[in-house]
Amino acid sequence: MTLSTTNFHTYTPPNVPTYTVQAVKSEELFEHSTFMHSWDCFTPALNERILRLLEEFKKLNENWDRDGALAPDSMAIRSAEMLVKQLQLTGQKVFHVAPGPQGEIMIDLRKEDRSVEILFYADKMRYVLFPKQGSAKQSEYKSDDLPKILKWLHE
Amino acid sequence: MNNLRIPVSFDEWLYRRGHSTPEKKYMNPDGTATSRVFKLREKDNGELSVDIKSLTTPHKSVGDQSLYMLFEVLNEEVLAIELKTYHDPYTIPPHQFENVAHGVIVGMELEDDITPGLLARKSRRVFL
Repeated sequence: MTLSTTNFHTYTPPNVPTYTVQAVKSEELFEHSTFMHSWDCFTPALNERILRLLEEFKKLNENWDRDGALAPDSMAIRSAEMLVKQLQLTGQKVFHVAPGPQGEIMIDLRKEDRSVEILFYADKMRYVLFPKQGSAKQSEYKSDDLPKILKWLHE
Repeated sequence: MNNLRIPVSFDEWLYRRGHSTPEKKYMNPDGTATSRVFKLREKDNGELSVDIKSLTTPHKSVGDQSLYMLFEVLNEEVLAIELKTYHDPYTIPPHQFENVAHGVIVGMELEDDITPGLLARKSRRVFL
């Protein structure tokens, strides 16, 4: 089968010299789909701690930090879970995940002196690139951006 | 903003408290602050609360150690990313609870996710 990159995204493990390319249909990344359900069969060991934390964040109520933080948005948690599973496919370990005061979920990826934060809010998604030197850059996040984000992280 | 507030010297350290119960692990695995510790809230009115280290103690600043961790960041690092810091002591009636060490970091916006990340990466944990 020939896959067009117009319709599919490929995710390659960043640190593995030889690998099998896995293809996920672009428009189905953030929807219920057979692809998403099939991810359940992948071992979650690499990011098991992260998935467990996301599960715990679902239990947080308003004012969970006793300083007025909003409860984590359910869609934000769901999107974060999906991204962690996507990252699982690439072999990318998630450094940490944290809830924020506006109900957002932050996913932190690190590689030596570079890091990326991907943020899921109730009404928006964005990512921030933190280079070793130079200015950090904030952008709107779309699911299409993941390959280029990982490429930047591992450059 | 109160124009009479005094700017904080570049060589002062600033304390920022972060919610972190042991079982929830809101901090990074290495014990450093996540960017969310420095994320601005609507109720902050554009001013992130900190304590000025030389005017308080770590124990007083952190309050309940079962709920919070304490982080510190050098004001020089804060000023270097074009933020401003002011001494902002306050008293809340009717109990007259006061915090003479209170300060604020000014210049962040609600939609800004760069600055919280930079501040977190420049901060370090204060062990009590």
